[in-house]
Amino acid sequence: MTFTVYEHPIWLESEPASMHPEGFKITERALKHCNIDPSSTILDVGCGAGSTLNILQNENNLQGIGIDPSANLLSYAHQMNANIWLTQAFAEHLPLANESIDAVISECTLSLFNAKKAIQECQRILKPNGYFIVSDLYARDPENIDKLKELPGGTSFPRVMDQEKIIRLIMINGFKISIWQDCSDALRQFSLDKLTESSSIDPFDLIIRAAKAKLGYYFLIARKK
Amino acid sequence: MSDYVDLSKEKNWMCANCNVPLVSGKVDISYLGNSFQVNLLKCPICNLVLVPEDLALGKMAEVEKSLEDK
Amino acid sequence: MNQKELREQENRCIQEQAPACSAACPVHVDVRGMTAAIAKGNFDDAQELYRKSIPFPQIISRICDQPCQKTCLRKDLGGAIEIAALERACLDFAGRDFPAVKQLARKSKTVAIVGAGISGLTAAYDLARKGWGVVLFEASGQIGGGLWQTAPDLLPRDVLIDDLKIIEQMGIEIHLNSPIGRTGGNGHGTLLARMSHEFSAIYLCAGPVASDFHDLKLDGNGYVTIDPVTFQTSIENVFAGGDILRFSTFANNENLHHSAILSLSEGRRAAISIDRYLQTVSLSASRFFEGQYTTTLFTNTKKITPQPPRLQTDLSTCYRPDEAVAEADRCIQCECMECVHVCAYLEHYQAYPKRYIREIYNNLSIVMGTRHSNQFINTCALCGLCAEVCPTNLDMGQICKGARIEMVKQQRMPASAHDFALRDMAFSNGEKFSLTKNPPGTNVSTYVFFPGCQLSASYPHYVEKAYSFLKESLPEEKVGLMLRCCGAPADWAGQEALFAESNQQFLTEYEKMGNPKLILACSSCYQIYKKHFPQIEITSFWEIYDQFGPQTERRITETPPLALHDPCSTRYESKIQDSVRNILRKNGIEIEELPLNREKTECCSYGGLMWLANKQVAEKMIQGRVNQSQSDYLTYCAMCRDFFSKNGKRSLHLFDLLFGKLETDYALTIAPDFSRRHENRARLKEKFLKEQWSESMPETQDFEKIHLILTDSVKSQIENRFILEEDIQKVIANAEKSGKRMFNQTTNHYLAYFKPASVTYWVEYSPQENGAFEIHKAYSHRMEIGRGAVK
Ligand code: SF4
Ligand code: SF4
Ligand code: SF4
Ligand SMILES: [Zn+2]
Repeated sequence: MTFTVYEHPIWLESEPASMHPEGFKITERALKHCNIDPSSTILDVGCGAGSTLNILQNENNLQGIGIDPSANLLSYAHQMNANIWLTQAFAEHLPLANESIDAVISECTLSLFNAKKAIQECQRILKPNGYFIVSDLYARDPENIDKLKELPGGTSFPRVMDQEKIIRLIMINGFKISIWQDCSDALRQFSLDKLTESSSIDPFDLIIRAAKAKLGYYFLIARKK
Repeated sequence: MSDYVDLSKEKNWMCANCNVPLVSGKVDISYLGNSFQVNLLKCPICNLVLVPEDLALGKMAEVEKSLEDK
Repeated sequence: MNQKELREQENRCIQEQAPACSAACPVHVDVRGMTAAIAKGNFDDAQELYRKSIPFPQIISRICDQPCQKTCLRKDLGGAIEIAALERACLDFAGRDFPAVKQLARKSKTVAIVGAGISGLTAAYDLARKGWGVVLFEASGQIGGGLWQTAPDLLPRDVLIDDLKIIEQMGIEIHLNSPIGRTGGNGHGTLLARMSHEFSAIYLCAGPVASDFHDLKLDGNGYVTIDPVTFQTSIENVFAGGDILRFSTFANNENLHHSAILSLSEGRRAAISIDRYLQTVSLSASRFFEGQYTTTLFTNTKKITPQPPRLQTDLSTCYRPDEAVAEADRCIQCECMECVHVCAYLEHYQAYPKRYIREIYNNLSIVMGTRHSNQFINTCALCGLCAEVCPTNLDMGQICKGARIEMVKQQRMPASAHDFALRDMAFSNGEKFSLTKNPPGTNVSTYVFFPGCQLSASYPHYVEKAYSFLKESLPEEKVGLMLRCCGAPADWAGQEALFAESNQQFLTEYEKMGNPKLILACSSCYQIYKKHFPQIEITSFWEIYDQFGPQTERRITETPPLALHDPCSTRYESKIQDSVRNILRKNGIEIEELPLNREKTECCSYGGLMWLANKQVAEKMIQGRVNQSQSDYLTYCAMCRDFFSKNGKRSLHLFDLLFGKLETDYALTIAPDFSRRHENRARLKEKFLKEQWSESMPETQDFEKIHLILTDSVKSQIENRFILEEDIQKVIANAEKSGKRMFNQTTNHYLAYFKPASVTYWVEYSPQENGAFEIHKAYSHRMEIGRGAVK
């Protein structure tokens, strides 16, 4: 798996939060539905440059920990805030004990990893009833999902799934889904420019394929059974 | 940013207003609320942009159609 | 159109109903599918289909009394299909073995079945497949019941034994010589009671003597009470079928008689009830179409030629493979598809209205639109032919129009779909063309001639002649003139607001004339005013010409007969159609009626803006129409004539015959291009103003004075790209004024763009010394450059 796309300096040039649609806003919306007390441990899977962890700490008074496969992004995150526990890891192999975490946040990263393994890992480290808060791309027209497969690896597109598949994967791996919300509007506002520039995707091609697969965005909240 | 549009055929165009050759540069294009940037030839002074025929009738038309059908 | 209405419309399409044969088959064998496979020589697929419905195929194919045949649509066209013989053939000639039946994982509950006749065996088979445990009690020493009474030459015993082996193979527990409830001295009732505790459910099908089971409730006539749908008795987990049914109150003549296939069907229905009972779901919910019923499927057999059944060469055996193929080929493959056969559009998308409406429904409820639905919805010509031929009068046009309105409301109608036509309409209702005039020297009209925008664009000279004709023919009347577009494009595009606005403008003008009678030369206009202005008295130009028109001289340029095409907007206007035929007859013009005409006439692709929304389908539609006759076509709508002639068909407008020059062969005239259409309208107005009212046109704008030089190939390029010369003039005017243009050092061409509204036009041109501009190419796009981006 390559992470060159998101390690591209262009992402760090300005606002690192722009790596996914609407930055932290969607996670914030999701958090309103959860009941997480300040003593909880929250894990950000694929925390990148750590902007979500910062917000959790500064604005929501929650202490988070972050993992990301990219050493570059982590060192950037460390420079930004030395008070966060960060470690280099893949979501498929979390260096954390069983039932040790209260909530996991995965912002636009599920389809970067092997989703099934990542979900199983999150399930393992979450405490019973723990929150699994996911936001990511999904294909609203499953029939045309192949259109995304030909887009370059290192981005989420080739692994984007449809709603049914995502829900099934999460459910059969020991979760109960409490909320699924479509927030595809966020995609429209999201500027693709950095993505196309860092990944050498032809923007025309990307738009055509995304439109054909009816690319959308969602967040969901699941609880560990 | 790489050029996804073949601009080589169009290199003989210059801005008649400013009398300078067109150069490749980022241009915002948008349709139905979706926007993105591409490299196109434009005037470095007055920003006049060149959309070649191939692009307008090819990729642009295709994007228009897919966004309309969305 | 709301979702409920859409659902109702969907249900009106009966294409998915079963063919008569399957509906009459108590277990609904897919006869049509089977014969289709056999006709292709594919006995494997045929057998697979047969096995899907029939658990004991060898037995049933030999002894079935074929209730299906009584309803077969071939019956009166040579003789019903030999269905059972074909079933037998697909068992005999399949090239492969069929795997043992798949059974679901064994579940904990067990069902007792009393009686191992065909009904009990079927129930046992179905329940065992679903994974329930099954125990069979049979009073005699063998399973099969009444099957052993059939003649051995009809049902050889080895076949019988072989086909029933499956029962044992499925793990069904068989207790032979085990009469339940019939014999044994005391307490039969208690036996049943005990059994119904021991087993999760019981199916009684051991013959008529139900009164042996003392605990079952009887009705006033002494029959066991049985629910006619679920076969449930008064004891919740006891179900009854077979002869007990035939001696119950709801027995009728049909289920009184003994029939293997009816027994099989009862066993199956009992098994459905028992399965549901064991799963604790509703026994009675949605149990339609079980057993025999009459289908609502309509199949047109008018064009089917009678053909007698294929006989077996050797009467003592069954069909040979080739004979079976020939017999299967006689099957009509019953289906409706009436509308699809007459509409190139419905045919193009390879399905039928029921499926289409479902797709439209999905598209409108946004969840997950099917890819082509938008274009699909916009392609329909709204011509109403489907409704005319449909046995339930389902009108796809009405549905597509409703869907367009909905899309416009939801702001999901792609701007590009109808933009060009709507701008054309705006042009016609703008100052370049629109005109309302009372006859010179008066301030009121009793009649007003409304030629319409397309006739004026294609044949402005005939509009002048028609107006003169009307004034001469109605000397006592004051015949005014109104030039504008009736608004049909907005109506067809689903743009309700735009249409209402256009209607309001019309009304204001019209009322100023003193509410005269409206004379319409275009049948699309006619439909608009008929439907939306019922208070206005309208008449077609052709009715007036029929009444007052002179005898014309004999023409020589056309070879009779001329094939007459009724425009689809005259579908139910027999008065107009008759007038046209009268005019032709009086003038000695011999005509030929096309196979589909009058109320069944076809659209030329102008209707519903099909020509704009989907060029490919439009061409199929036109091609289909013009291929119907070798003769030259004659019609009385400018658009029909133009579309036909553009597709290479020699075609005439009725005006050519009435007002044309005698020696000119109009069938070859090429329709004016889009730019010329605007020009023709503007010139017509100018000419009318000058000649009739001695007035002049309003000032022309600067860009209109730009003189363009276009070669024929550039002209056809811009026509295909829906670019008008006035668009090009605007680009050049803007570029030359602002200086914003590009220059090519090698070609010395200029290139400039301009976006008057939503489309950006590009023009490559060279200024000429005489002040004109030579145009090299023009193209356009809708994407916006530089701004408008949502950030
Ligand atoms: S013609 Fe064929 S499909 Fe029609 S009823 Fe007869 S067997 Fe069935
Ligand atoms: S084009 Fe005419 S016949 Fe065909 S579906 Fe539309 S309204 Fe019906
Ligand atoms: S004519 Fe067409 S719409 Fe009507 S029932 Fe038949 S297939 Fe369906
Ligand atoms: Zn310039």
